Amino acid sequence: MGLSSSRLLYVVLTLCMVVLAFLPNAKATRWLDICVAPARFLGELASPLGWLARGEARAAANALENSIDSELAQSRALAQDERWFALPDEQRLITKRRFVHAQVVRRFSGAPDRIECELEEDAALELVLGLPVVLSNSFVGRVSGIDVESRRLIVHLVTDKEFRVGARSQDFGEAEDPEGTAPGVSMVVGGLASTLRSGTPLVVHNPEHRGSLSGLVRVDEVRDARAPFGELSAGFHLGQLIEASAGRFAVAPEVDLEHGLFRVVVVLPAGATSAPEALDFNVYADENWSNARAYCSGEPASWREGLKIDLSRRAGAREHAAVAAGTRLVGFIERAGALSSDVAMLGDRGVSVPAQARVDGIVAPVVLGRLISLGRERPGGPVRFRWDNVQGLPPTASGETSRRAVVFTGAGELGVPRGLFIGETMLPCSAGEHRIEVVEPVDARLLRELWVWRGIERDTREGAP
Amino acid sequence: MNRGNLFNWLFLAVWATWLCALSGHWTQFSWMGNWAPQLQIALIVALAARAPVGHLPFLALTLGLAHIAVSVDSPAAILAAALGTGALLRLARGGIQIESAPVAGLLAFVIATVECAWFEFVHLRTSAAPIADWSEIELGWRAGLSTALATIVLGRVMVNLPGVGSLLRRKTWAVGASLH
Repeated sequence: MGLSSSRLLYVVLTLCMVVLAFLPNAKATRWLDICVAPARFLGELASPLGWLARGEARAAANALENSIDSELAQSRALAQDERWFALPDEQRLITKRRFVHAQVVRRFSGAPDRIECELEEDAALELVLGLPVVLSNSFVGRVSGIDVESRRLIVHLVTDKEFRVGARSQDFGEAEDPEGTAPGVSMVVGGLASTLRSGTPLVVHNPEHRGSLSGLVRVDEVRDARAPFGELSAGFHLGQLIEASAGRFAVAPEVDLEHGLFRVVVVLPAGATSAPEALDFNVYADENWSNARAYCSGEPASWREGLKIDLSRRAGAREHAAVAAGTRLVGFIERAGALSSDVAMLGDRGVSVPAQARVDGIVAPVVLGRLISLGRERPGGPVRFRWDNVQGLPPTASGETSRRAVVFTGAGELGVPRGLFIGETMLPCSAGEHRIEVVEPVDARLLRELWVWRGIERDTREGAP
Repeated sequence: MNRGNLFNWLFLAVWATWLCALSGHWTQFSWMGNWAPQLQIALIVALAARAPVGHLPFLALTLGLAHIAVSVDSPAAILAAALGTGALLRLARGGIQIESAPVAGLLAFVIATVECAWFEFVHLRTSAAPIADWSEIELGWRAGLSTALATIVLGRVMVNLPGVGSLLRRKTWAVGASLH
């Protein structure tokens, strides 16, 4: 039996939709969004259903308003501490050097070993290619591009397979040098090592000594005349030597170079010029946010959690832009449409967010890396996140294996401003993959007035320069 | 399609959106969210049993649009599910009497269960972050059961929603009676 033309059209249309469902970034999907844009009006007609929870919604809005001042203060204090603890604390790494702070803005999808950073000080004219870039005492890479006008710089990370840096370990293995008095082993470090170990272990090339290696590895390029700024980078940590496989060694960095770089510091020689002026960048300034109204929060799928907001692509909505209420992160725009946008909330499975935390008993902010949402056990319950604890946390003095923490957003993604409040949790101290439960004091699904981050609009170029 | 008919379709879209939003509210804000029925599916099954066969594709598209209005799932995935539902109902109409409550309930159960799995599969497949094993896909049988129950209990009410009735096929006796 042959198919009539209308049936054929129906089958073809259905198959097209099936294919498009798996191609969220296809151009045809954008056209489909335009075709279904009138659905916004239907959604608006259903918005009075929100009145069913108007008591809870009013309570949530009040709770948000009452906590906003203290959360703002916490976020600002966190920013100050982030700057403070990004500086090296060893005297030998501070002397004869000057430091310029920069916040990581994004990684390039085609070049994951290059990061784009925005300078927090007016020092772009002083920067030159090749200057070392560090985080605390750890060496992370070199400046490989500068855009003076936009105060942006590109950092070439030590994880790149083309990257090489001279290094020296501080001691031999115990068998060879029980006193630890030997001068150390010279080697070259650069590129990611292929091991099953989590984190970003670096490859050790041509070690001076083929025996068992251990200890802290520091940058040492003083003898290499071709190395740019060897004296400035000398002494910064590359990490601890570990045995990657039989007879092969790698260096385990002290920072997670894949997901844990939220800010960096460029090292300059201590010059005659006075310290550059810090630029006042206020995350919460009105010009960084677009106001949006949530008109529908009744997602019919139980394993999803989302909102419809009235902000269109034309008005500035962009995929992956953070959506906030007050100082709290609500979620991210999943689809920016012609008349409205869809927001995937934190309780939506698969939402990922760069995070850092204030951990009880630890003064410095702790970089958590990327948290991936696994949804909620029950509606309104805590959000479960998958967290890869790369470095581990020190256990408490009383021997408890987890620590209370307040979680904030980190940086490093174009759509995510740093310092937004996520919630409270207990963090397991042991290294490895964990599931953590984050409690949000306010149910964001009940809130109607939201703000969408516009930082993502400022620069949506793709591809490494 | 005359003007009166267009209004009937608009009424249907509004009712479907309301039912969809009601399901969503139940799902998101109730302690028994997993058991929330997919009322828009109950509506399409109830209507499909009584509407002219030629209306089924439009019914499916209208219900799809209503679902898109309240859901953050991909519009393409929703339309694919809606068109698939329309095709299944068309096939069922050709073979069995889906007007009977048990059959309508069974169809609603199958459609709701498969739709849940489909949406979750698409979400897992297109998510940027690796979330979970495929084994964690819920088949949504609880929503399927409650949707079947809703179809059996509320089916007759749904086909009599204001503005919707005139989209339906009229029974022979009613047509005959109207001739007198």
